[in-house]
Amino acid sequence: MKFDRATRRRWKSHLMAFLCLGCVAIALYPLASILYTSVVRGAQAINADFFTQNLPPPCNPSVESCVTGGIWPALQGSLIMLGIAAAFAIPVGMMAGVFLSQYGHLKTVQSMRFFVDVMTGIPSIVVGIFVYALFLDLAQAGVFNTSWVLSALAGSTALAIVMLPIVARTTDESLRLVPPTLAEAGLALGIRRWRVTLSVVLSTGRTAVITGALLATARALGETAPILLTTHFTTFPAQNLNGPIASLPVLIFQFGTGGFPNQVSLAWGATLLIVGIMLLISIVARVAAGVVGSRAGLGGGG
Amino acid sequence: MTGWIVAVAVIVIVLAVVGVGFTQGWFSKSTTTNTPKASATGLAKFPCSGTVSLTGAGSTFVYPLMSSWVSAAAQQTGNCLQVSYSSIGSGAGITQLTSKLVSFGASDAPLNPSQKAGMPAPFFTIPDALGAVSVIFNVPGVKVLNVTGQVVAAIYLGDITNWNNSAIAALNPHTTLPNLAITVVHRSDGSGTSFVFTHWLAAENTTWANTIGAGLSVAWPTGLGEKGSTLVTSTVVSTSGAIGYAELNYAKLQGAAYAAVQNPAGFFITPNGTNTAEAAQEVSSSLPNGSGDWGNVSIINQPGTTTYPLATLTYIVVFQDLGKAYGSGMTQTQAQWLVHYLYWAVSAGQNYSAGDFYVPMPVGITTLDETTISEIQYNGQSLVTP
Amino acid sequence: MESPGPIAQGTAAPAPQRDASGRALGDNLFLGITGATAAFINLTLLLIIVILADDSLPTLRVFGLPFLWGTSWVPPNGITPQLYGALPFIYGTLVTSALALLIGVPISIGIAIFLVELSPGWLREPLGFVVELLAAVPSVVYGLWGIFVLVPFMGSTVDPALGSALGWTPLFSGSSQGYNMLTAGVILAIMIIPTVSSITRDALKSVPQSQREAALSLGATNWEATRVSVLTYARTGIFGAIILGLGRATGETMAVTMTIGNGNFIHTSLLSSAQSIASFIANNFAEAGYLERSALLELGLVLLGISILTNVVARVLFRSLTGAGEEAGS
Repeated sequence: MKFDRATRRRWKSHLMAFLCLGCVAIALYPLASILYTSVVRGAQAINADFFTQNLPPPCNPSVESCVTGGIWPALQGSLIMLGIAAAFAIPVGMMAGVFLSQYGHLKTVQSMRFFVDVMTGIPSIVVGIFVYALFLDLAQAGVFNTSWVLSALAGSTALAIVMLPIVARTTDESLRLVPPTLAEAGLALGIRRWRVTLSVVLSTGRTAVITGALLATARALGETAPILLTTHFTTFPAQNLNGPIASLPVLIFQFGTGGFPNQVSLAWGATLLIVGIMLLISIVARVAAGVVGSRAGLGGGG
Repeated sequence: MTGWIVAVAVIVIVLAVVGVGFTQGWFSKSTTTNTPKASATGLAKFPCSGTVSLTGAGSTFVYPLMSSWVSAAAQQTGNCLQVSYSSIGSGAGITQLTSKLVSFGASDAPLNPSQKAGMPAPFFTIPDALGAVSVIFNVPGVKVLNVTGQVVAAIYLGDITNWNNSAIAALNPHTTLPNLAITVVHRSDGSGTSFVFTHWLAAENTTWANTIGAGLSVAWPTGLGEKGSTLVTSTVVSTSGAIGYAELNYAKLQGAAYAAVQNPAGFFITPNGTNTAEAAQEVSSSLPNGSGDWGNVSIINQPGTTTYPLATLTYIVVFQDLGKAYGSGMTQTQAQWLVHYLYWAVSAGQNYSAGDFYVPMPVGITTLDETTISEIQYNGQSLVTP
Repeated sequence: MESPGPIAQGTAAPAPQRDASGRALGDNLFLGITGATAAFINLTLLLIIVILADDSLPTLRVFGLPFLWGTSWVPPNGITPQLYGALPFIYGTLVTSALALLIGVPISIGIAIFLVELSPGWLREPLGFVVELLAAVPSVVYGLWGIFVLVPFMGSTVDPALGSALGWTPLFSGSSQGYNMLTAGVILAIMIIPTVSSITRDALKSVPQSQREAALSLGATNWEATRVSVLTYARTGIFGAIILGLGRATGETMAVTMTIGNGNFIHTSLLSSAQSIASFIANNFAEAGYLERSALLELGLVLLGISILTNVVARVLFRSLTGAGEEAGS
């Protein structure tokens, strides 16, 4: 075998191809490890009690008899805050996305789109400290009492702010993919512009738009930093909008790093639950969205 | 068409209704709670309807015991009284109390002058538990370790960096210490446990006293900073060669080995209920009243041959007049139940201490607390105490 | 998708008739309502900047600009006066982000090249989908996995190996049992892979086949063709992907705070604990009194500034690629 330059170049080419394959393997390994660890450590915690019991006090089963407890308050808390956040962010975000896509030929609107896109990249912890500072300032100014500063409502507000630009952007991108000839056909028939937008454009792009909203909600499910700073954690189900509220990501953080075996076990169970939900939503989104696949993927979550 | 817009709108409204509905308890399930360790029925004798929600925050030192109280309180009142305690560190607890974000704060350190200056209303200091700060370590093969404050301070200063150092070996002639680097672990947040620990280090080692000093948080010269006693303990447990400090409960529950600490009488004491209780004997007769200055109260390095030197009280801090302090933020019912809860915690609640590796407070302190708690008011009105 | 019917052919869209008073009104109302929602989103961003800036004023008044390069952080302790400085956290953020890019970008480009050029057709979409599942894992789960799996691995295997091989350099001296900037950098690298690789993939796909064919026809090997024609052609897009990855890495909170060791100091060694801006804010915000909270909000403003800057630079790059039309990436 000659080791002339041509051969070396060929071997180098094969080597680089092999390295690229290696890169894929390196990237997939942590994913596999996370899934494996979640299943191994989390599956044992999941039973009927897991979904219905309140959070237990710290305990070590090898030292004393322990209450296993469950994560119901955290699950309920996440559903509440997501529900309220989505109820605001999805309609408002969708309408904003419609506006940006339909009037995007205007220069002003292009700047608006630019800043909406910039806002999707804000670290979620900045959103958290913003909501805290805002609510505290308002409470100290007397607009409402201090019980609203660390509350279910504050947490929902933070999540809504995280979701809003994402829903707007995915709606905008989805509707821009609808061929303009459809709208023009409608307009040419004499139908009013707003009617055309709703009945023709939105209707055609609805799968992608709904997928975008779904992905934004899923992303908000995993957000920890904003609700860590705006809610007061509790072991009981939430009672009021201005009261303490538990949530899945904060549970994973506090129980998982706490070192008390019964709590660590629940944290991994909750991890398995969240990872499972995220996988499911990713698969649904990919199947439904088709074209919008990679751009509308889940991203972020601090 | 407008058809599917209506569909989306319906989904969104349902989401909002469900969300709000949860908070109004439309879907609440009746959940069972755990069985209490003592058969006290103290809180069950007060009528309670619906749910009463109280929030507290602060000391990680008292978190395991507080969790037992919260569980018991919920069980005794049929899930009516729901106390939510955030174990975020003594410093954070007082900060949240200062901003009126919680109904009570918990701190292992009495308020220092700058914390006192920041309080928006008069407050009471109420010791609620007594416990030991254990010096936890992870040295493979070593289960029993003698330490002195002088040596521990040298370790935390970074002067002693290996477990086979002669100073440590001199204290442990019957143990073979391996050649293993010491990983120092301390608190990264404002901690009452740090307050007690650094006061002890300052009392035992003049270099520490002169260069680092004592407080809720200090400029630690070396080591890993962890947030909360739980993380300190779990880091020590999972790191070979680590040393740290945390309330005894954390050491017991997470399986951390803890050291025998030399007391002023010269004996090496491993903390337990009895020798920690001895630390509080002397002090209970000379405590200030609830509204007084607790800045000089300290039970480290108490006299006695068998007394554990690193014991501490931990305190609950509440405003003296809850109605005036919180306004519409706290109802009379909530204020009443806060009084019930605190009264119960300092008396019958002490039955839970031993089970959680704390120590029941001496009767003298409980009596003092009961007097203080009965002075808590709501808009000038006294609240019912048994 | 469909052919315009004979009615629309050659006919411009008619202006809205104004014969009924409601017609133009309907359009205006639609424009107004939807425009208001879009404006609301922009105003929220503005409000975030305003509130953070306003609440940072106390710190600015006391410490001024030197806050950015101060190295001590001393909350009120009754003995020494308060002192706040951001340098250790800016340092930690920069180092961990740089590590994330150093480790994550080559891997992402390798993945993109594989998916676009080397992978068999049937494998392309499923494999691409699986890589992007990395983005579906929340930050806190990365952090928990980090504590239970990565930190012990780094602490017991990688760190000592690096220490014995390269411990003489200031970059790899000391040890921290796995809770250090290197571990945090590794996790951040994993977290930016989906973003960087997917945008790079789009950038590579947009390179015309003719470029590659031209290189091949001149006798280049596959790799040389890729390197010379495809990567070079797509470099603006790849650069934009890197910037977006940087923005993502600087803002990550939970995964970093659980693995970085929380040491408020500046050590050159990558094996030393440190603190990033985001992780420091998360750790200290709850307990901060008035002035300290203001200092933390100013830190948050710095972080916001970094994220806006990286976002703007990335989007300007993408815009220059495709003109005023659709953007090439997220």
